[in-house]
This record gives sequence, C-alpha cells and structure tokens, in this order.
Amino acid sequence: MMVLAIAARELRALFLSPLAWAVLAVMLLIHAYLFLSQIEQYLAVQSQLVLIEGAPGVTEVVVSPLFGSAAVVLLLVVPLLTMRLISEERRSHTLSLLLSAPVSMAEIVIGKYLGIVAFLLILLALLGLMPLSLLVGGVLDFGLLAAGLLGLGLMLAAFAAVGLFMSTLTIYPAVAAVSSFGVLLLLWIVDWAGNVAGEGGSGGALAYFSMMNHFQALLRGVFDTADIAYFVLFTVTFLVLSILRLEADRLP
Amino acid sequence: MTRALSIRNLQKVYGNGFQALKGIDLDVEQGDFMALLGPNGAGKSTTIGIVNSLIGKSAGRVEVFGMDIERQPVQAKSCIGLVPQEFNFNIFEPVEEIIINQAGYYGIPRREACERAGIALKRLGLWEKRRGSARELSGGMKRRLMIARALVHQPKLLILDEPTAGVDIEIRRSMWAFLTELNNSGTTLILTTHYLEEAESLCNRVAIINNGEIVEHGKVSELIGKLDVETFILNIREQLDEAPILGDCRVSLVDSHTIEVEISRQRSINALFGQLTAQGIHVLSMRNKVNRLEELFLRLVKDSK
Repeated sequence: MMVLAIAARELRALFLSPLAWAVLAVMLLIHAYLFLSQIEQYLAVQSQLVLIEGAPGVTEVVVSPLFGSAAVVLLLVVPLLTMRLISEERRSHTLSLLLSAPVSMAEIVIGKYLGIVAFLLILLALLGLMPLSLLVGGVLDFGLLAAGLLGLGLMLAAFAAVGLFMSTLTIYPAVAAVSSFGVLLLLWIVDWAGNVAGEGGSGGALAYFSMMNHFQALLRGVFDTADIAYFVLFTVTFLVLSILRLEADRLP
Repeated sequence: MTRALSIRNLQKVYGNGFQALKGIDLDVEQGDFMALLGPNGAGKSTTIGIVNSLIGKSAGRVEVFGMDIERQPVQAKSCIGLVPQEFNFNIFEPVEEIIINQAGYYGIPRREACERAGIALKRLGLWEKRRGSARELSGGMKRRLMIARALVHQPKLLILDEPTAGVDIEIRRSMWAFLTELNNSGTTLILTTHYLEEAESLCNRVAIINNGEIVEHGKVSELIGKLDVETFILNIREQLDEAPILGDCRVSLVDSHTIEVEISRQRSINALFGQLTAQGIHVLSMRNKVNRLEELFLRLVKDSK
C-alpha cells in the first residue's frame, strides 16, 4: 500500500518535470529513425533472403538490432532519470518527510524503484509498438520478440537499480548520473577484458559479469534461467545496497 | 493518562565525537503547548530529529503516546506531525498534490486524502491556491502549506521547528491564532523558536536546553516567577546629564531622555515612580527592556556555561 503510494508519487513527479517528456520524445524519435533504417535494409536484401533456406526473418533483422540499440541509448538515458531519486530528496530536505513517515526504508526504496520502473515500462511498451506495426505487412516471431522485450525490460530494471543506488550516495544529481553511467558502462564492457584474458579463469568470470552477454542471449531468443537469475540478483543486490545506505543515515 | 512524549536519559554522540545530548529527561503531557528553547547548537534539532526518527540515538528511551519509537516505529510515527524549519517540498508540484502525497505516506486512500487536503487548505487560507504550483506561494503561504501538510494525517503531537522564522508580523499573529486553536482542540504541540515573546504568548510549558542538557523545565508562569529582577526602559520628559540615584535600583543613562532601571521583583514600581517624581523627573512611557522569558532564558544560558 505505502510502496504503491510512493511509486505513484514518483511517477507523477516524473511526469510533472519536462525531463520525462523530453526523454520519451527523444527516445521515440531516435528509435523511429533506427527502426525505419532497419526496415529499409531488410527490404533491400529481402529478395535474396527468400532464396536462402533458414534465412533470418524480419524479427531477427529489424527487431533484435532495434532492441540492441535501445539498450545502448538507455544506458545513457536511465541515469538521467534516476539521478534525482534520492539525491534531490536529500538536497531539498524532502527525504525527512519519508523518513519521519510510518514507512520502512525498504518501502521507500522499493516504492521509488517501482515508480521509475513503471516509467521505463511505459517507454518499453512504446518501443514495443514499433515492431508490432510490422504485422500489417508481415509475420513476426513472437517468441523472439517476447525474449527481446524481456531482455530489455530486465536490463532496464538493472539500470534503474544501479541508478537508484548511486543516487543514495550523493546530494548532487549530476554526480549520481555520471557515476551511474560509469558503473553501467563498466559492467557493459567488462566482457572486453574477458575476451583479452581468454575463455577460462578470470576471463570467464569477467564475461559472466558482463550485462551485454546476458542480454545478447535473450536478444537471440535464448531463454536461459541463468541469464534471468543474473539480472534478478543484480537488481536485488543494488536495491539492498540502497536500503543499507539509507539505513546508515539513521544509525546511532 | 499516557504522556504525549516521554524522553529518558536521551544521549547522542555524533560520529565526530561531539556529544549533542548528555542524557536529557523530558515529559510532555497530552494537550500541552510546550516551547523547546535553546541557543544554536544546544541540542534542540537533535532532540526533534530523534523523536521523528530522522536521527539515531546513542542511548536512552523515547516514547510517543506510550509507544517506543524503536520497538513500535510505525505506530509512534503515525502520531507525530513535523513542520521543519526549511521549506521542503517540490516547488513545481501543485499545492494540493503536496498534501495528498504526504497523506499517501500515512496510508490514507487518495479520495480521503483529497477531502482532508481540502479541509487543511481551507483552515490555513490556501484553498484558492490549491491548483497552482508551490513556487507561486509567498513565504508566509509556504509556511502555512507546511503546517497543512503536517496536519493531513491528523497527528496527536505536532512538532514545529521555528515555524514563524522570517514571517511578517501579521502572518505570525494569524499563525499564533491558528496554533492556539489547534492546541485548544486537543493537539499537543511542541515549538522551537528564537522569538521568546512567541513562546511566552503561546505556550503553557517551556523547556530550556543548553549544551545538550535541560537546564529548566516547567510551566511558563512558574519559570517567569523565578526571575528576581526585571529591567525597564523609561522615557522621561526632562533632559538628564547623569543617571539619577534611585535607592538600591541599578540605573544607567541610555541617552539624555532615556534611563534603564533594574528593579527587584520584590520592590513596588510605585515606589520607583515616587522617587522619580520627588526628584522632578516625569516618566512619559515605560517598557520592559527584553521580554521576561527572554530575560530568564539569557540568565539560565549564561549560568549554565
């Protein structure tokens, strides 16, 4: 109940600021452009693909790259949305309202988190509408589409958890945004070091920590519970860290 | 009857080793209007912060209406409303939404929150401004908005941290009237203020805190009764070159038409006037140098150093 009240307030506050609208507009504009470019490429090679047995369909050629690009762009955008979650509350002293209300620290963190996730789900739904428009003139692989949407959704949930945690560490939203971006980028590209180190040992461990690896699997339509568990554990870890960080403020 | 607030041996040592509270005991009865006074850094904000669960205590016990703030935090917090000193709301949010959101934190359904917000806004004269954003409000209106927000969950104990700081006299008076009305309707109030005139006018009890210790605690009338001397400023018609001698009263010349007289509370002021008249000095007007509570406060704070 309290969690939902906090989440609803967060979502409303987001839509009261011009940032949320700007993010929605810019994201849709960029992805509409990418989507149309992918369709054009697909149309250019479609006649040749028809002749190849087992050739990739429109979902593989258009939708998967679209979601892959969306993840990269959102890596930049989500920190901008999460940067104010706690830091702004600290700066404007409104955090005291939450701390003095009969809500637990976990409810505050989860409420705020759900508020931002709700916004990201709206964005995801709007992005999901683009591939669905292809049904007008073609056939979609719904399994691949669902796996891609799930992957993107889990990825956004993980991004938001990192952004929320970084926002608990500082009173400066800009610092929270930059540090969130830094952590997310590191976790995205940690795989590169893994490639250099080789398959086994530290290289394998680094490759496991790479978000990109787990996301790519879902984007290819490979539904592995290990990938799902990675994102869930990742998200829960950062939410718990956020709760502990806020609890630390009240410790004697 | 259960006390509204009961504090026992409350101690707070901050991470840097500074001991902000040195084991204070404080009781506030239900229906009291208590002023918590003290110079800057005395421990007022720390005490309020601990009662509101914003700051963790190092030792001691705090109970709100018999509920321990650590063992029953949800129930204890539900009884308290807090009006902090600084404006703390999203200035871009509509006035009504600020109050409704606050109600949400206390588990009040949105429909009921809207009704309560309407009542609070009307009581505090903000109804006409409910749709506008908070940044459009004047300083006094913002203060009233903070009080309206703190009242939306109908707390039994309202804590106000310098609610009239920086507010003009007209708004201050209207807020005094509102707070008195609120107290008369049964809400227990705790007020911190630097305006001792405010504390003397509004509150029936006062606690003075200094260096992390309660140096005085009791009824305002009893505390003022402890003052042994009062200082008056007298404006006189005649021009004086030196201070007149008025028995055992301490007299000093402020300017050629003004004298300052320190008189024991056991002495009659009539006798003072008699002495002045006998010396051909006519008093045009007279006032207290400082408010009586202020005089007591300054003495206590000075003594405790």
